[in-house]
Amino acid sequence: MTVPSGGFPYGKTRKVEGGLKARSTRGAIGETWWSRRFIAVLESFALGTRLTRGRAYARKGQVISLDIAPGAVTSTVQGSRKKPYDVTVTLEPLGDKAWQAVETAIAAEAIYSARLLAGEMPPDLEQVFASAGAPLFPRAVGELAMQCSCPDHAVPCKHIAATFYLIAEAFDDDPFQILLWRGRTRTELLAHLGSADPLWQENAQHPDHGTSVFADVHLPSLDELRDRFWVMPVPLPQRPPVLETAPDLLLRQLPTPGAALGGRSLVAKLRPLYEALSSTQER
Amino acid sequence: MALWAEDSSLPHEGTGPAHPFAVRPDVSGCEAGEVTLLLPTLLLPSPLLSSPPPLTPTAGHRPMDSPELVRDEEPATGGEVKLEPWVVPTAEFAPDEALEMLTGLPLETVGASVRHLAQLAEFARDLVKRGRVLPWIDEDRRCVWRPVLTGADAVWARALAQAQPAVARAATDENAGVDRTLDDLVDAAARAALGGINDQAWLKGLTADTAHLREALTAWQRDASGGSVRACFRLIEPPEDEPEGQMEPGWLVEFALQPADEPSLVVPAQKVWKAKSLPRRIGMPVRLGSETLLAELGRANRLWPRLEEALRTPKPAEMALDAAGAHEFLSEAAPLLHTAGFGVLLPTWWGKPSSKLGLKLRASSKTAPGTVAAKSGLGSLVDFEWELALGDEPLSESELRSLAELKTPLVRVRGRWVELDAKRLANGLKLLRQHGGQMTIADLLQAGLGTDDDRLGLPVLEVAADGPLGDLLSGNPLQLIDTPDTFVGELRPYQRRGLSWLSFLESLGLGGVLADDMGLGKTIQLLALMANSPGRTLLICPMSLVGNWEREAARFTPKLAVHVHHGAARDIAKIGDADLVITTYSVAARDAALLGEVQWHRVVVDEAQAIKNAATRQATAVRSLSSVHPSVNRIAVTGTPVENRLADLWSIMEFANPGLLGPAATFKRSYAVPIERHSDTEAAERLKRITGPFVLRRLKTDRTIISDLPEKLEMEVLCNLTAEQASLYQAIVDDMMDKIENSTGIERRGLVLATMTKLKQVCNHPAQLLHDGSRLGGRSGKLARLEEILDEVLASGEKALLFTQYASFGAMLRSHLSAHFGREILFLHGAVKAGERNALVKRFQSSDPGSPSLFVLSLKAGGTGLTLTAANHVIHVDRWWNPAVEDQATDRAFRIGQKRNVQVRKFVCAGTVEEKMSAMIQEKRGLAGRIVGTGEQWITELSTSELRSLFALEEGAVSE
Repeated sequence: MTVPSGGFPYGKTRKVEGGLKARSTRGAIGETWWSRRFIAVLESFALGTRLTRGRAYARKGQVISLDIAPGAVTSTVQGSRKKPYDVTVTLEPLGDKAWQAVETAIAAEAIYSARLLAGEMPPDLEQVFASAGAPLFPRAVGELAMQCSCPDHAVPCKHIAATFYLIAEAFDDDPFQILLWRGRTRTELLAHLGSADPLWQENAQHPDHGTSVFADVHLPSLDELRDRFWVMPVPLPQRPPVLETAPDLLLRQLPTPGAALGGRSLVAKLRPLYEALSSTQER
Repeated sequence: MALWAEDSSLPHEGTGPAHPFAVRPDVSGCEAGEVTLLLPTLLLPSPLLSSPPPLTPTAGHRPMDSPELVRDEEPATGGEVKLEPWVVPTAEFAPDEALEMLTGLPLETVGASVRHLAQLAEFARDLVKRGRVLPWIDEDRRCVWRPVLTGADAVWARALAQAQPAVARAATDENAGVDRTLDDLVDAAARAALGGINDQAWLKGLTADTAHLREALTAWQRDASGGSVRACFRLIEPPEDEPEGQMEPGWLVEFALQPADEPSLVVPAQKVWKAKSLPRRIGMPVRLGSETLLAELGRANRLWPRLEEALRTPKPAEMALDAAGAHEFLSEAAPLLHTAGFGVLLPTWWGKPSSKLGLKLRASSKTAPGTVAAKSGLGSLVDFEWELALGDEPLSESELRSLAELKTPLVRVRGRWVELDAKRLANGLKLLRQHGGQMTIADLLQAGLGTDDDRLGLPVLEVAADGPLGDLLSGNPLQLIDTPDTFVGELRPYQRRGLSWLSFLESLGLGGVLADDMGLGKTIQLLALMANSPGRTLLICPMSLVGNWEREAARFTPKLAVHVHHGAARDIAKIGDADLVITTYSVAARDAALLGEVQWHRVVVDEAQAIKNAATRQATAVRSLSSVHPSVNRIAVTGTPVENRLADLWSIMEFANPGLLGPAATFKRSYAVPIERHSDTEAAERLKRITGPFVLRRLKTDRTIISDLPEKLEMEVLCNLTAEQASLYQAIVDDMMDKIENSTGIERRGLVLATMTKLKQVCNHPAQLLHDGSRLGGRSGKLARLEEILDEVLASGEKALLFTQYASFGAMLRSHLSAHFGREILFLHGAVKAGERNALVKRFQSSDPGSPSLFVLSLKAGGTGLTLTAANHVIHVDRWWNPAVEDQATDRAFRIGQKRNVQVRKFVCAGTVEEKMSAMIQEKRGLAGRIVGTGEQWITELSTSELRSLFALEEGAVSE
């Protein structure tokens, strides 16, 4: 028999199949600077042990769904009752004027647009937001409105706390979720930065895999080759020399994978595979 | 992958849709299937055809053979060729089985389409090994690996796609190219390389559906192959008038845009920010251009973190660096950016030896000047001193010390920029203080190779010496030797130079490689050497050349006592006092120990590419002969461009000068791989410097030689018979002579002529006589020699005409050679119609790199007014005793329009009727007047005993 938390007679937590489990199994949750900043900000609000309880919940996979939208994050968390609880965390999104100030600040240094255009989050974006007078993260606990349908009156309850941790990991996977929460999708931000023709949507620049390489190879019809049917129609030239590269060059060259792929962790999982590809073959 | 096969023993024609001579494969472990292929079909005119049904083949249709199939009867032509469907039984393979099977295939028994697949498989393995793959997911949500084709890989992939034989597309879809195949093979290769490692693990825990995952993967992988416009980074060094060696930034990396397919157009970032429009070839408006530039800079930042500093302004155009930063860019960032597809423009001095600090090795021989140096050899000692140099300019110790005090990696010295490595500089100073010492010539030359970089700490840029060794290393012109007295005939000037070179090397105790082009007379130069510096010589050559050497030696150096050591009855004691002992590679391998006990003056290895594979028994046996007696003179002779095939070079040089090129593994790592796979020009130059003094190669197109050569060089090539051919020959002679003795008149005439024909056929190839459709390889001396000669012709990129009087043998040659060399070979014979004949001639004469290089012609067809001047080699595989007819055929190549010297070779088998006929015709000029028709009618008038001696098989005819 478990000792109920907070003195309430809840009983055992119901298990969840297929819930969102926090990736990290020990220690702090959140890998990138922004998710850790988020957690640090929350911890600075002196929420104490309640936050820690939420960590265990997140690791167990009790959060069933998570949705981040401008100004609000909603989730459903399985508690000990049959019906899962609904959680909402609201933070007033930045207004148009604030965003304009941010956009001006971003345009002042090419590094920000360069990173954003290349599909990544610039390293010191928080400073940029702060200098524009539009803080990226909430400054005081009062700015956050937290709600949960569970009977526990403590704020934050375990369910809200678990949601916070999963938000942090969502930020790990796709940092643009922070911007979304604050009111702009990446598309909108770049559009506001003055892009006439959003590059990342332009397929002509980056053609699909495979089609461009063989596009200009025209094979004569079988009929034309009747008299040379069995041999190579043109001889093979000598193979052009290739530069030596480290096997993981592609991994270093590509941007951080998106949230759906698991973000940074994908690269970490793939790296040993690439090393195996190059090492096990000896001519 | 589905394979199907043809069987030549099955009949040509059949009824019904099934292919009449396709074999049902009997392979266990793979799936059997059937597939309908569109194949070229011969429509024969047939009286039975009343109303030709559209696609159903009738008795008048038969599918054409693939060219590699060997048949005994003459192939028929004369009908229209159309594509018709045929059903063939196949063996099917899954991609991973296919991959395993395609590696390590015996390439002689498979068609060109399978060889093409083998190339694809090798490419797939290579892509996987270099990590040029990315994961993808298929419909079943399993991880599959796809190739990333950029740069040189894209070029190669396209070349493979264009070279796909048509038969590979005959089943499925006319447009099916290699892309699907390559994808499947790459996935199989990746899986094979990973072994048991789980590559599905990264998919676990991802909850999005397959479509979303694919979208995310596409977005993530987009940067793997760049867009049409890339960023370009140009390093600019500080201007001349700035003081040297300061720490302030004076270097600049300029940013620019560059179209991927036109690297000559570089649009600097300044222009991108300020201009109203961009050059048309960039293909985008200015707005998009500036975004592209920013996005590219963002991507480049991933590989070069320091770039961030330059991106702190809104419109970055360049980045300032100090010397250390510039060095970091040059040595680390630039190669990464380059291989990731960005444009990188570096100053021309980077990477060149002149910008490196290196060592110069100066040697002086131990004998005082003016005395005659004793034969030194690789093991003799010389005094040496080290010098430090910048490229080719020496530096004094004080200059070096001042350089050492500057702590920058890039320094301007005497107006030139130099890369300075502090550690290497310290090593250099230490070496200078040691003031040289003594080393052997072998060590001297090896030091010049620079494979021992780490020990010395600095690259060795040059090796210089005085005296004759210095002459050798610097390639000074030699003193010419006169034609020796015992040599019968005159040496051409370039042959005298060759003789002088060989002699010079011998005087120094060093080995050499004579690699003159074919037809320049390497045999003659070596015989002249043997006449000039007598001493017991062991000559090792292929079986097919034994007769030739004997004949040339008898002709040019008759005073040389020659003994051939081979055959079952060979005995080492019989060598006696012979000056020249000829043996074959196989005998040398078997009798290595025995031969090693003899005290040889020199060992010569002919057609040295036979030992190109260092690991074979014959290679090790041959090398042991030179190592057992280190003072033996060693010469390797080859006609192939040995400097282009580095693995071969190592093995041959290891025989000629053991140890010169270091151990095989080090050589491969330091030279073969960098030069051949990565086009490392510095390594290529170093290698050339070291091997240069020891390799003499002249081409028949060299200006100094071309005037020495006649326009038409005619040679008789003496071939041997194999044991099989000899026994057949003997059997025919015995059988026919019996019959001839017991016949008279017209019957006798017929028998004599029939005997001539059969004997000539045996000399060509047993299969021609036996008509059994058996395999051709390894059963005929003429074929062996032909393959060797054609190998050299093809390696030099030249073309040859092959004449034979037998159309059936022509067909056999065509099949066998096209499989052996993997190329298309044209064939012209009497039954070919005029239109097709003209098409063949046109294709042969075309200067396209893809046009066929070899043309087999039956003598009759070749006599008609054709122009085939694209060939500069003519080979008469069998002889037609009427010289007018032969010459007329030869003149297809040698006529107005031919700009080069033509080499004509006429094959005869030693000890057979062919050799005797050839000799007779040459001696009895009077016969020429009596030669009518085949030139053989007069033979029928010989007496029986004369016939017997004509047909007898002489000793020495057989090479085994």
